[in-house]
This record gives sequence, structure tokens and C-alpha cells, in this order.
Amino acid sequence: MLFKTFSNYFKAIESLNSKFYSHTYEEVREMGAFQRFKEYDFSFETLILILLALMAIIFTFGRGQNTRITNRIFNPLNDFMYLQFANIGFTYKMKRIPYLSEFNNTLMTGFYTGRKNVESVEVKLHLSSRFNPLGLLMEKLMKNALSGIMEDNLEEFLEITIKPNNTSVEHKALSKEDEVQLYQHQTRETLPKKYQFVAGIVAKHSMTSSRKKYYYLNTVPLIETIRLPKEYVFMSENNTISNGIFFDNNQENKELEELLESSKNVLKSFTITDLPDEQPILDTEYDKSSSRIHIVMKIPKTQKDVNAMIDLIKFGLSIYDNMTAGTFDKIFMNPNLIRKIDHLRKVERDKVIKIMKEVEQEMKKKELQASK
Amino acid sequence: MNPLVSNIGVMLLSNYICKRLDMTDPKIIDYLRIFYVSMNLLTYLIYTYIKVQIKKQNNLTTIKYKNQKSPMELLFKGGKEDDNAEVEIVKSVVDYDLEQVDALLKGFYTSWLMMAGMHLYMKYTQPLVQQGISPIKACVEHDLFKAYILGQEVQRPFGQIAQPKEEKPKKKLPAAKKD
Repeated sequence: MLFKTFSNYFKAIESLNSKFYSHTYEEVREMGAFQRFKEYDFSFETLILILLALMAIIFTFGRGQNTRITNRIFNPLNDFMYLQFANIGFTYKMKRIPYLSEFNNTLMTGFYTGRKNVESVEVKLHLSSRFNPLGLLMEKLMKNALSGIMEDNLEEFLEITIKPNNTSVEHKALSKEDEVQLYQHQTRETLPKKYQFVAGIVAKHSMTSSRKKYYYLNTVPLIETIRLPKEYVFMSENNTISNGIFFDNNQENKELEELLESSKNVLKSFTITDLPDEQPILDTEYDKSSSRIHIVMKIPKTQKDVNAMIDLIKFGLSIYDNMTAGTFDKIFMNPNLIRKIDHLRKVERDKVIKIMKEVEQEMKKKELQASK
Repeated sequence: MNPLVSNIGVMLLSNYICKRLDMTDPKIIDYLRIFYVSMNLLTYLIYTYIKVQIKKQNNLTTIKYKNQKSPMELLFKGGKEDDNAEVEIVKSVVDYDLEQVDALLKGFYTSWLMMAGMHLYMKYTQPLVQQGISPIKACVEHDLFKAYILGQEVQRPFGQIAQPKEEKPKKKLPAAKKD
């Protein structure tokens, strides 16, 4: 039936020029170019051209829309970052660009470095492909129809990663092999103890999704507290750490409360962590992870939301300033706490090793079966 | 009354009505169409009202429950029912309720599509009666209706009887703590 419908459509398109094609070859030869243009019905070709033009307009508009959203976020952010960092943006083809856009303006990255106590700040803006509305519609329909097996790729979000200058104060002479390496990979062994913990503030509306998405939140308990606004919970290894860092050693922190209140429409999670984002499958991957503040937000839509985002970054930077100044050192002097922190990391590492061994055994079994 | 029993009742009642009606009369078919559309519209309005109420009340109390993987998920993602089949989920009441309404609405749209196919393409008229009664019945029997329209206290997750706590539960995810 579908085939018949299509065949009818093609016949109708062909019939548009039945008059032109009814002429013999000699008649067509005798006609001049102008006469031929006059005889030929261009309505189908015009329709196709209009459709192509429409596609081009939608594509340009969609890309432009993503650029507008990005500029609305990055312009005020860069204004703030100019006062904080020496190096802003990227150098591309001998030009300074404030942010890098990839995948048809669906992934925007801002990078800031050159500040005391902080190694770098990376801002990643994940936008949907507005230039392809049909694709978006299809993806949405598929997501609704097969929600169990389809991954959610439509979600737009902003993630900010603040990395501290967390190399140990104790200077060790580099071996000759390491000297050529400009940036050392931080490993769990070289990372100072006061940077090895997970403490986060997570919005209640994204508790499950955050735990699903980020491995580091999956390893720690959820702690409900009256200290935070009712929209948030702590997801932290230990209450002492979260209270100590976010509430200045159990004092009141009105500024944080106001900040969380103002960002309740956008903030998903604000976590200080040293564990990886994704479940590691190799022990080397697990050991490589480094300390950072990971902020995940919805896309800021208003100026108020953008200001809240900047304030969150400001708060993140102040945490590392305080950490370097030794404000939180007292928290990490508790041997019980250190033991608990070490235990969690050991347990998680053992889990990774166990999975590795299981995979190795299965591979060996398969090899044996194949050789038989 | 048990929903299963009442569903059988609805089915028998709709069969009885269909036998009494002349399904070849275009006038009766039009009346049945009006009945189907109006009942579905009423159900849709109730769900929309419930959704508005959920957002308005914005209950941020956290609930914990174990979510079993659906057969589709097991087939495509897991393959076999292993230890991770039961995943513990922590949600706020507002998110849980909104998720439930969305699931109901999704089922509702699917039944519209099915009905459109059956009635408009295959020219069946009998399902109009049953599909006119079933959605409103399901809506009234649902816990969300009890919570937001009748104002009753309902346990979440819905449809689960509170089980006595085990002495030492196996810890998959770290438990929630109170500060």
C-alpha cells in the first residue's frame, strides 16, 4: 500500500512535464533555450530548491541560536574571569578565541588558567543540535517510546571543573625521564591527603540522575541536613568534611545559603571530589584521578542564573584558596577520618581489581574454548 | 474493590452495552465517539490538574525504593538478572509523583494511538465503549488521584506494601543519614 502511494506521487511528478516530453526530439531541437524554459514546468524543482533553502535557513538559525546562548553565558563569565586568571580562552590560527566550539556548536568549551592556588577552570556547555529539529524530534519520540533502552542525549547542561594546584609542597627532584614531561599526571600517591575526599551538595531533583551519571557520587551516602536549603542534600563521605568545608568548620555560612537559594533553578550538583566521573575499569585509571570541584548545572537562561553560575565559580575558587591557606587542615588531622577515607578508596580499588580479574578469567575461558 | 475484578466488570458491562446497541447505525457511532472523546478529555484534564497540584505543593521529602529493571532493559542492557538488577533509588516526592503522572500520560497517548488505528483504519467500534470507561476508572483508582484530588495520605512508592525491616540489610548504596 505504501509502495502504491509512493508510485502515485512519482507519477504525479512525472505528469507535470508530460506536455514537454510529448514533443519529439526534432521539435525540441528547433526550440530555442528560452522556448524550452517556457515549456518546461519547474514547479517540482522549485519546491526542492525551497526545501533546500529552508533546510539551510534552519541550519544557520539553529547554529546561531546555540551561539547566542553561549555568548549570553560566556561574555559575563569571561568578564569575571579576566579579574581572576592570566590566561583566558584559546589561541586558534594565531587568534585569541574566548571559547572553543565543536560539533556544529553543540559543545562549547571555555578554559582559564594562571591563578594562584588554582591550576585551571574548564567550562563545558553541552547544547542540543538545534540545527536539526527533525533529528531532535525523532530522538525525543524514540526516547519516549523506548525509555528503557535509549540513552538521554537531549539533555542540555553546563559543567564546570575547577582543578587546584594540589602538588605537594614537599619538592622532589625529578628523574631524567620525568623532566621532559611538562605537566605531571597527578596520581593518588602524589595527591596530598587533604584533597582526597568526596563532599558534595546535590539538588534533590537530580539525586538519582547524578548518582547514575557520576561514579564519585555513587560511592558516598546521602545526608539530609537542616543546614542546607530544603532543595538540597549533602552527598558526602563524612559529615565532618562537608560541614567543615561548606560551613567553615560548623559555623554559619549565610553566603552559601543565599548562593544555593539563588541557584536553586539551575544547580544540579556541586562536588569536591578526587574520584573519577565514570566507573573505572582499570586500576591505573582509578589511581590517575585527580582532585577537582565539579559543578553540574542546567543551562542558565536568565541573567540571574548566569550571575548565580559566576558566584558558584567564585565560591569554588574560595574553597581552594582556603584549602591552600590551611583553613581546613584541622578537619584532616583526625586519624579516624583519614582511616575511613583510605578504607573507602581501598574498597573501591578492590572492586575495580575484582572486575578486572573476572574479565581476565572470562577472556581466558573464551581463548580456551576457541583453541578447542 | 480489587482493580482486577472491577476491570473484568467493566469488560462485561461494555460487552453487554455493545450487544444492546446497533453498531451499524452512524448516529450511534457518533454518540459513541463523543462519549469516548469526552471521557478521555476528562481523564486528561484530571491528570493535568494533578500535575499542576504536584508542582504547586512541591513536596521535597526524600523517599527510597528499589527499582527492578524492566524485561526490556534486562534484554538489551543486562542480559541476565544479576546483583545490580535491583537498583536503589532516592527521589523527592515531587519528582516521583511527576514521573508517575508522565508514565500515566505516556500510556494514555499510546492508547489513543491504538484506538485511532483500530477505529479509523480498521473500523472497529466496540472498543470505543471500553476505552471510554477504562481510562477514567484507572485514573480514579490511582494513588495520585487519592493524594491530590481526595487529599488522602498515600504511601510511596505506590502499589507496594510496607515491608518489615530486615535485621541487617545488604548495603548496595550507602544509606541516607539525618544530620
